[in-house]
Amino acid sequence: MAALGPRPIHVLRILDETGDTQVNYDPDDAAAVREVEERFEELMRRNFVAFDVSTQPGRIMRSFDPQAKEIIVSHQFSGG
Amino acid sequence: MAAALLAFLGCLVAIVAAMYGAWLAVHVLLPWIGRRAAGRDNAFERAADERARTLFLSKLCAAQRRSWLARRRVTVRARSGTRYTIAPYDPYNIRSNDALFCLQVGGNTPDYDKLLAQKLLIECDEQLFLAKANVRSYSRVWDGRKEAALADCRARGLLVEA
Repeated sequence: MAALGPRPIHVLRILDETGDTQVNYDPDDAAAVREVEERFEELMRRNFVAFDVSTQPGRIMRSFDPQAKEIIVSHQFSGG
Repeated sequence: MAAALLAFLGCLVAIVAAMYGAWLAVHVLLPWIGRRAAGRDNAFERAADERARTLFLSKLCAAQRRSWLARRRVTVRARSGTRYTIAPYDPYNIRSNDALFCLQVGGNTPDYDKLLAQKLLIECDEQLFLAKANVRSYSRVWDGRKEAALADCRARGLLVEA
């Protein structure tokens, strides 16, 4: 019998005018992952920048990785 | 005759009442609605600022959090070993030992979100940070580092030429 425990919840945080919009999803739920991936790709098309902050230090993401436990997406950067 | 006088007075009272109603709407009701709307906006912004501040502080280590709360400065170490100090969001709010950096973060987000984005970019991809930021320094070292960063980011397809 498989051990029952809390299901892992991964987070996509989009920095926006509300502070941030947090999207929680179960990485084992294919439909939820697909939905989050579509949202991620849409943000990338709009030149947002994504950081995988699951590890220290984090890394920039060019494509969606469902194994990343926490992703923070920011608007693009420019020189002042 | 009396009926005509009464009708005339009735019309006069109605006109005065309508004018008074219009005056009340312009001078009392509309400003009140405006104040209510502004109050709601301020509450929305305050809640957003607080949410962004909480997230920003949660992404700092204990020493960084102490530094931010005491001095409004946070020092971030990039992969190259270079230390950058981030001050409250403003033009040229990032500095190293011998240079100032200006990095704008787009979007209508609270300043704490922009600070978090600056911190993450320095930690995660120093080359992209150097390629994007405007650099002011008397040291010529940064000219070479900026050029190298631009070349690196172009090679990785991170910079789109205009």
